Amino acid sequence: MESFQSILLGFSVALTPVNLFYAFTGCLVGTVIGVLPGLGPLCTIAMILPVTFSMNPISAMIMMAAVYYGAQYGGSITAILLNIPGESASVMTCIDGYQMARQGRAGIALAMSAIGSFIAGTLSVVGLMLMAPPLAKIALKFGPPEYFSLMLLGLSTVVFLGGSSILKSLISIVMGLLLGMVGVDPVGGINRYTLGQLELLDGVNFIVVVMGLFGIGEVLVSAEERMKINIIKTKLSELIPKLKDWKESAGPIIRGSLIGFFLGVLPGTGATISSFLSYATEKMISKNPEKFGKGAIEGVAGPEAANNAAVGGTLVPLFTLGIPGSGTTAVMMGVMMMFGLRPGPLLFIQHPDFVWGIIASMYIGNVILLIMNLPLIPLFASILRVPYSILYPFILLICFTGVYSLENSMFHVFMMFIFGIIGYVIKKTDFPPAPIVLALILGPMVERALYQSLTISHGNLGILFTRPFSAAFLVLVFILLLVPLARWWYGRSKQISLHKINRKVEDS
Amino acid sequence: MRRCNQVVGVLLLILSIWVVVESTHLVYTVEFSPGAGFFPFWLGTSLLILSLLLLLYNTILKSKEVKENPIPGKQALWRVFLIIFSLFVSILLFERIGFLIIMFLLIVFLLIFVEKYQWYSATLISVLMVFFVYSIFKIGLDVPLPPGILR
Repeated sequence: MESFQSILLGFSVALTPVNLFYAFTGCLVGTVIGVLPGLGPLCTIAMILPVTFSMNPISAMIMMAAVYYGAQYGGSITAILLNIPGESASVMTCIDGYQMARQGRAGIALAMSAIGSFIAGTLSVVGLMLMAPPLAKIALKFGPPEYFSLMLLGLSTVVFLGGSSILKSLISIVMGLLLGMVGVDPVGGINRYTLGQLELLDGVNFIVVVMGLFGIGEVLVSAEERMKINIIKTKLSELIPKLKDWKESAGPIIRGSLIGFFLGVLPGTGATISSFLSYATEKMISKNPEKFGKGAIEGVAGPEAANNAAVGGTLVPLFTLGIPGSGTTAVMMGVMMMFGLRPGPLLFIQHPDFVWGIIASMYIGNVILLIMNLPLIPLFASILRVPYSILYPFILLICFTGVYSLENSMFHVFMMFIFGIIGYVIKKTDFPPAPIVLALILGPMVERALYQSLTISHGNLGILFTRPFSAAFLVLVFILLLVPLARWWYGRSKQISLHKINRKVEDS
Repeated sequence: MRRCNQVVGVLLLILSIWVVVESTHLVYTVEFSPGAGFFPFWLGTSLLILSLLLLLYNTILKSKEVKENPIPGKQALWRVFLIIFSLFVSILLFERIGFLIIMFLLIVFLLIFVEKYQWYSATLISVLMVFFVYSIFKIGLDVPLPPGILR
């Protein structure tokens, strides 16, 4: 009953003409930018950030959430028509989506992806609505030790699942945490690593880092070669899936939604892992697994549902615990803090209109996205024809002007430029950039939580291990960090035994 | 890739040493809790160990990471250089010359010299792009963009 009243409050906020306008604009902009190859949700949100500065917090977050799921859907259009995943969460969609397009079924693949995203998005919002309040109530009992351990757990999961190399993910996290140390320290008010610059007293602005790493860095990587886009020639007129398609897709959509939502809730996992797992699940339980990779609609519906459901899931830890689980939610958290709102359990008590307004707007946003996407699929596909040579100067222009508008300071623009070059280098050398942003935002919070914990316990570190929740989180951190070691040891012993067998064969 | 990892490893090593040295000038602990230097010291030390591991992995242990060489060809590198150079010059001249002119010149430069557009199409695209962004930020959001010589 309480949830029902709260969601009614949310709808009263989300259905105001202004907020409806921002939800629509967010969906449209998110899809349009998300369609462009190489520009994922994080980059899209980074580009839209400067526009939100002058808005009220609710409208800004409604627009940002809409951009997030719009961009998530936009990525699937590129995956299906170009075989280029707009972002990592669409990698699995490429496999069967592109094959469907080659068989002349691009329209159905895109429509099923839109419908799957809609169903998954709606289910994940229901999940968010049901799961967030009780979790927030539990989180109200959390003190600094629990938060410290939980943030450590979040960072460890990111390391574990971050990219191809755990060592490089770890380096990215430490770099982000170090960036978070710049400025006046939260304990004694001493300046650290400011290089004598007044602008750095408040710390490194996360927007500058995001725009540099994901805006400028992405442009430099993509501009290396003249990108030639070959859109597959296919009919986009047949958009209504047949009964057979519905039957084949219903199960994968439901399963994908559940996988996406629950994995999204875990810090550090999110859209990419859930789409991989959904694809693997569908292939495993399919009666005809040989169809996968040759244009199976289940291979599109499942992962697409999963990566969209993950959006709702990732907002659960953000709203209830104040801990972002991904780079994108870290940026959203940064924006909330910029507006003076502290994400966490108290948000439900102090600003119910804000939280429930966003949740309700996500219901509405999903409907807008479906209504907009089905008829506009041919239009979005045509955006892909805009040459990248025109697009990237525009991205540079937006990043430049956006960062300047933060504080009308060229220092920030120069820092964005430096982070752009760093972003280019780390992308070329395969270091994951998203953990840097996540750690930059979490860094000062981790430090403050440890400081408060040790003040409570008079300097006794045992407080982190004697409180049940905190101890449980630390055990999980320990297990997570042991997994790579175990994997390395297992691989090594396997290699040694193979070597022994080979020698025996050679001897005999 | 191995050579690039080695270079990055050395750079990170230098950075970590600087972080650790700087952290020693800060207070390590206050009464019961960590001081301003506590986190930077341990983070710097962690980075030092990780960068040594990266170097070790890519020199002595010879990483099996099979990745194409991340250094692009001469032409691609030239394109990247031109973009970085034009951005740098724009940053230097932005406030002096003003938003409209410097951004117009930046886009025209990129379109003509990097993307080989004809001057008239480059001019038209730049004018449209700059006015579009100007109308969003200056007119729509009231951001005080520097007028420069158009003052």
